Amino acid sequence: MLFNSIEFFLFFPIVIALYFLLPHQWRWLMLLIASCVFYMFFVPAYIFILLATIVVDYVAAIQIEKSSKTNARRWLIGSIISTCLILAVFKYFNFFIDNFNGIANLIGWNYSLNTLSILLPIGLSFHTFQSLSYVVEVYRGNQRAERHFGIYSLYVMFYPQLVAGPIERPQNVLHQFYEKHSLNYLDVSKGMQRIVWGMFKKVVIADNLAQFVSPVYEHAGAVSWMYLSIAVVFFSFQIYCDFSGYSDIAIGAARVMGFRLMENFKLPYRSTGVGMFWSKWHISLSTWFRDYVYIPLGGNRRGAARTSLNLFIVFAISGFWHGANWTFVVWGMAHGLWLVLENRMNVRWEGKWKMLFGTLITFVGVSFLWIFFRAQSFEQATQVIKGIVTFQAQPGFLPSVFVPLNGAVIVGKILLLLVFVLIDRKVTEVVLGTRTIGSNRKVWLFAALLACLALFGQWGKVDFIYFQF
Amino acid sequence: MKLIIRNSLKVLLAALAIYAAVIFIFSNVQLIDRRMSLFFVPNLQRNGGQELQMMRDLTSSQTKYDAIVLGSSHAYRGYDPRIFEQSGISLFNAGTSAQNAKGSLVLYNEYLRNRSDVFLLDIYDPVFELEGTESNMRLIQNVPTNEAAFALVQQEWKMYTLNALAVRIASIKPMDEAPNNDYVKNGFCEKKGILYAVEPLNDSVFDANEEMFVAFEKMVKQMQSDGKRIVLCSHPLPPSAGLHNYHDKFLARFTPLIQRLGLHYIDLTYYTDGFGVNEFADISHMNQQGVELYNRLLMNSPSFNEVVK
Repeated sequence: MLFNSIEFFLFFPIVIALYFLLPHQWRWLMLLIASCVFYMFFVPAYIFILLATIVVDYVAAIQIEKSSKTNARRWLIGSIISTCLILAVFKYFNFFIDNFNGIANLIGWNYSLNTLSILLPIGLSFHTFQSLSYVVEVYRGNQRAERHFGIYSLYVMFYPQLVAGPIERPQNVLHQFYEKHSLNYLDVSKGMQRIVWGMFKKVVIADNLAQFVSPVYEHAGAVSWMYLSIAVVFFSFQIYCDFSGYSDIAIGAARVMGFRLMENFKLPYRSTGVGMFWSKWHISLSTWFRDYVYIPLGGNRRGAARTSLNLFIVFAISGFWHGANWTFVVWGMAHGLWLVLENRMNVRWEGKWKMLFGTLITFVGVSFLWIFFRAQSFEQATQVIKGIVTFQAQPGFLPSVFVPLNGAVIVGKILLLLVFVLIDRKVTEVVLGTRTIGSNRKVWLFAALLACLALFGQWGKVDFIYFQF
Repeated sequence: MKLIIRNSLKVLLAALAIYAAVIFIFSNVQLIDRRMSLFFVPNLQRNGGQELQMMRDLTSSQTKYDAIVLGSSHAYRGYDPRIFEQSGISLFNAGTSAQNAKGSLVLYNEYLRNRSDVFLLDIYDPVFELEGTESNMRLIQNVPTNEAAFALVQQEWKMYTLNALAVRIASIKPMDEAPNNDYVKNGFCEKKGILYAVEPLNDSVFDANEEMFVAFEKMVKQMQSDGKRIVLCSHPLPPSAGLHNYHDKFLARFTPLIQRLGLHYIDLTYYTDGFGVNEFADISHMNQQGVELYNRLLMNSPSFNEVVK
């Protein structure tokens, strides 16, 4: 079920009402059923894949806790391999086969393997990582193994963050399912503010920008450098608003019921370097990689060269996590390389104007690298980059898909984006509670956001980008 | 709980007030040479384009026609009443931009039911993929009566249809905007220009919107129950556009439906005799040279004559 769909607008109040009407001991069951319904709106059969992950890690964690150190380690490795195997089959199998066939073809080996005709289960990478985080924390002794199968299932399946995070840690969430939450004004108000802001970012900003970005990337060879440049900038905001919008809705939907999920974004485009950017972008994933890959690899404890290598490895894996395509790997590696260089050169921007310059440089660099993230292939990415740097002129005619995208509409989208850039920080601070405004001003602010949803929203047309991961 | 309800109501009322104010401004204030709404929401205008010109022609008299065309821009640019008139067939072209079966059905019920016994339904594959935003918004704003506009909204209870209705109601002084300079008469627009190059769409995949097939079936069944005669037509498309794969996928879904409904389908999508780049204005529309050729081809078709004459 999409957050930006009519189904969710019916589902959400029903779940909230049932949650507070039911006695505490039945709430977990209701939330679990609701989460199954939410997930099964996509491809119902894939719930069994999710169930397999849940069962494996549930059993493994109990065994880890009960076993000696050596056996616990075996259970941990077994759990990691089996969970990753599911991910490998559904997300990476065809990628490996395609590459194998490519290499076979290159060396003249007349043998090709068939790819599988399977759809990637929605949010597979997210719940796989959340599940892995649980077994690792149990192994490390930071979390007790959960004996209640239903509660553990709910930890993996909790509907607000099931398909696109935040990727939670068991210490933060599991205990909350045992706590009795009562309906209170602060949670409802903060949760609803968060949902409205998230919807605005997704439906008004991201999906409006997507209307321009998608056809430009699709017809990169048939549009001018100006269109391409606008599309590159638009995509930077599209992906930010799409993904942080999703996180806001997820955090808000959970907050209404009294649950606290971790923050996933902290105004990343205000960063003055790529290191800072990654401490503010998709925080739950960055910290996951830090805790479960970077530190076990040695982190920064083994000298400068090894630190650089560790960073590079982590970012390459992070790229691969995002998608089974070399464009994602290149995107991840480029970020890794940039971060390594930034650390080695000890780049610091101090003073107002230098910081502004640093922010601009970071935004330009991040936006440039998003080209590899957004493009379907290297050819498409190259076409976009080449079009911009060679100042590609507008060919004789625009493909007909651009007919509704006349100059006025593009100007309108730029204006919407400018308004967003101006209000992003203030509204984010208001919804986070770090900025206080009068109650009347708050009413008008959220009323204006709601009105924008009605007037400019692109309802139910565009999936959340991160669903594909 | 009381506090939650009270504050929610406050926010909703304030949102409604802001919405109404913006709709009013969008409907009545111009920026440069167009309604402000057009900068933010494509197609959100009051009165304009071929739709308005066609509706004016249609409602200015109660003439009965030998045949009426329904469909998308493919239709209103593809069937020239002047050419049919030369063969003694009076034709009205009620095609509108991206018109789908839902819109066609409302036009039929509100304005066309008593105006002809024969309906030519132009079939253009992409219309069976689209959500119908463009079509519905333009029709909602240009049908002459609020009742018809509301009937269109009822076909599609979506935010954008409500916005279009709101703009329609909020316009103090409806203005003619963006007239279609290609408009000739009886709904027809003459497309000029020549297609010089085509970006082949070999990889295009037909992605059916099942709602549109359901709506199409509903419309046809209603016309059939009213005793109307129906013929389905598709005009040729540029051979170099590489649409075979796409159209074949459409046909795989469409053919069983029309067989079940017992309809004639004159499908000239792949017809190439005489049709080169000079007969097309763009990848999906013929120019006048193409229209001349196609309309005569159609009138010589036995299926057409069987239904129309």
